[in-house]
Amino acid sequence: MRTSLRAAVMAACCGAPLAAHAVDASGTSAVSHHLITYVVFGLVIASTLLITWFASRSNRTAGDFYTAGGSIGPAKNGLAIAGDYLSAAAFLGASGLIALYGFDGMIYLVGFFAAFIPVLLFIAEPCRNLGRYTIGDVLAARNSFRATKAVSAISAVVVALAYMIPQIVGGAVIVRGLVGIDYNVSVCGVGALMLVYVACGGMKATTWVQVIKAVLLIGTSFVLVVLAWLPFGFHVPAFMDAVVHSPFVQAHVAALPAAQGLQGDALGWRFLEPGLYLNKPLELLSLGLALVLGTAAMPHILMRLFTVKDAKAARQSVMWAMLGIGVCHLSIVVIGFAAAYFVGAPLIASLDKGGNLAAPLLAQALTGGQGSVGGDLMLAFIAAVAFATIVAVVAGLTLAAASSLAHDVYVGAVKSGHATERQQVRAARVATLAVGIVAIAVSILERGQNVAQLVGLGYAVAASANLPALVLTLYWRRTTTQGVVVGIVGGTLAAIVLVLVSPNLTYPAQVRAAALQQVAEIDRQLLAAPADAAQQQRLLTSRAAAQATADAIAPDATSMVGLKAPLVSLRNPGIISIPIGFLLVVLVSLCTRDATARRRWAELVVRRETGYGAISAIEH
Amino acid sequence: MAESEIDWEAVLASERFRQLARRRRNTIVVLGVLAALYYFSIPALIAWAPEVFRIRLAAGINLGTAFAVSQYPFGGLIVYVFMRRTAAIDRAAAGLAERTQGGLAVVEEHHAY
Repeated sequence: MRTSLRAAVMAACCGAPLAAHAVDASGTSAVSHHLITYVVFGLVIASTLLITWFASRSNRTAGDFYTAGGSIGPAKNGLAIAGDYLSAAAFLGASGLIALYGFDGMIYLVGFFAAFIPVLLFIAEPCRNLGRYTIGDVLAARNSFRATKAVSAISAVVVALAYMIPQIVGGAVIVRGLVGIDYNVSVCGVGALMLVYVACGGMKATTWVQVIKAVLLIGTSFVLVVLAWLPFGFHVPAFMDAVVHSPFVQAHVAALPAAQGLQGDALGWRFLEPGLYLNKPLELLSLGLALVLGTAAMPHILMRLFTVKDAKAARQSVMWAMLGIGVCHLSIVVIGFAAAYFVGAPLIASLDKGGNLAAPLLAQALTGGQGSVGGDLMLAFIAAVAFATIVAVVAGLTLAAASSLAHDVYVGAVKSGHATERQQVRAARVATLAVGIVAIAVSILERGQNVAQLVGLGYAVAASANLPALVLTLYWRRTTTQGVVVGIVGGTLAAIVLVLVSPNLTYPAQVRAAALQQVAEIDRQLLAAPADAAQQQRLLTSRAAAQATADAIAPDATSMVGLKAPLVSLRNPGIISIPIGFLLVVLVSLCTRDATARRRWAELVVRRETGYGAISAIEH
Repeated sequence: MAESEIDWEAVLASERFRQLARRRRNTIVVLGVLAALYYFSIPALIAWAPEVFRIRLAAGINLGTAFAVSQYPFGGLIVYVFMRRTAAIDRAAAGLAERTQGGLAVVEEHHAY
């Protein structure tokens, strides 16, 4: 129980899309009408491929490839940002957390929305005014060209890969669970599709895939909300009252350690109160900081700000994105509570401990239940939408990582900004292929591992490395190139090191101690002489399993980095690593001189505020 | 960088530009602080005054649930105010651009950046 709870906490604290333990371990599928599933999956994938084919015919220049020539309208771009951002973590992960832990699931979700306010206020317009394709462009507007391009690319690729791999693993797990396709085949499928979208269609196709996915996801969530509220006549208090009085909910809360001593309706109300899941406020604050500050420096989100014609359009894009994300999140809140009421936590948790299948199971329950054609059709549709969600997010991340490699490292740092259009497009395609192959290979190697903590690492690196460099370059006169370089490298390392010594890793000595404690506990129960032979047999089996676990681990076994126990108790390093990132930039900047950065300050401020001289990629 | 054609220092020093930059800065700072206070009051209240979120408002709805959901309309309000304010600043900036157009020819950058 403790291990599974730890895995669940890990999954959530890190913004897990789908922990690798998702779906029943046997790999059997939850659908009985397989043909329906194949047809629905096929239709969704075919429609996105068709669009990629159309888009690929109009991709000519590097500008087309990276930013669709800056020609995307604000509403469409806003929906694409929503598509990029509404990952499986939000749709499947958060609805599952709400279904299992009520209020705590909600506040987890809210952080992903609040994170867009800093993007809108501090980042969107200045970045559009100063940059062209990547965060490296914005930093190089003032700092030394080659140095900043090289280091910003490293952190962008780390963030993109850290965020991408759990998405691919999660996608493969859904496909295996719902359709029954083998894990490795699924990973290659997700990878191949993503490569086709990005390498052939570039930003135009990726944008369309994201728009389609966002519309499907928001539309599907809305349909589920209507179906869930229909029995209550769309009267929200009646629905919530039913949740509080639900025997399913009350029985589930009663089994949680945080609700001991409560009875009856008090258990239902406890479901709407904090502490069932995120019981450390400091952890919550750290997670909130990483989300709120990390999103503003996520390379795939920043990149989308360059696909519109000017700063005003960038601002409007963020507004549309927040509208789409807000509507989807509010629907997810209802979906979570409805799943707790209609499906019940025991069934949700029995199929996946992290609750990731709450939304698909609710869809099945509301449209005829298990085994019915309607239920299976809806389940297959939700699964296809979730799959499209994952492929679209992965495609956006691949494009961002590839553009950092090709545009910042190859064209910027290696060729000092001088490359022909042909060389740039070829570099972009080669980089896409390289990123895709690395992501697929790592995902296959990670089979069976819990890779969820990588999402948290992605956010932490973005918030601790990219954000301080970006914000201080934009808003602090004394920032120097040296400060930015040290800040990015130091912030990235601080976040990685803190995760490596955190409870996110497995500590064999602790696992062994827990197993031995379980053995002792069972021995105590056996001594108390249980009356029933069957129960005694069950206890003996559990004891043997626990003893085997303990025996398999050497007493002095250590974690991956050689520790017996975590050095920090925080799973999310944000609250420590973000101040480190800011401090490094500030201290090094104060100790160094950078005449170029100082000289370009006036230009940067004027361009940041007004957009004079902004690169309008539209003439390509 | 083709920055030589515009006297950036002169634009930066002009009273009109400084006024516009100050208006924008005030807007984002005030809205940023409000948004941060509203969002981070969730962990703050959970840590220091957990009983506040337990207050029951109606059948099946307590203050915690209402406050968590209210983050969305509050975010919407911040966006609305920001869009209104920045649109006004943009109009004023357009005036500034016209007045100083002589020195502010838009510079295109042709190299690959």
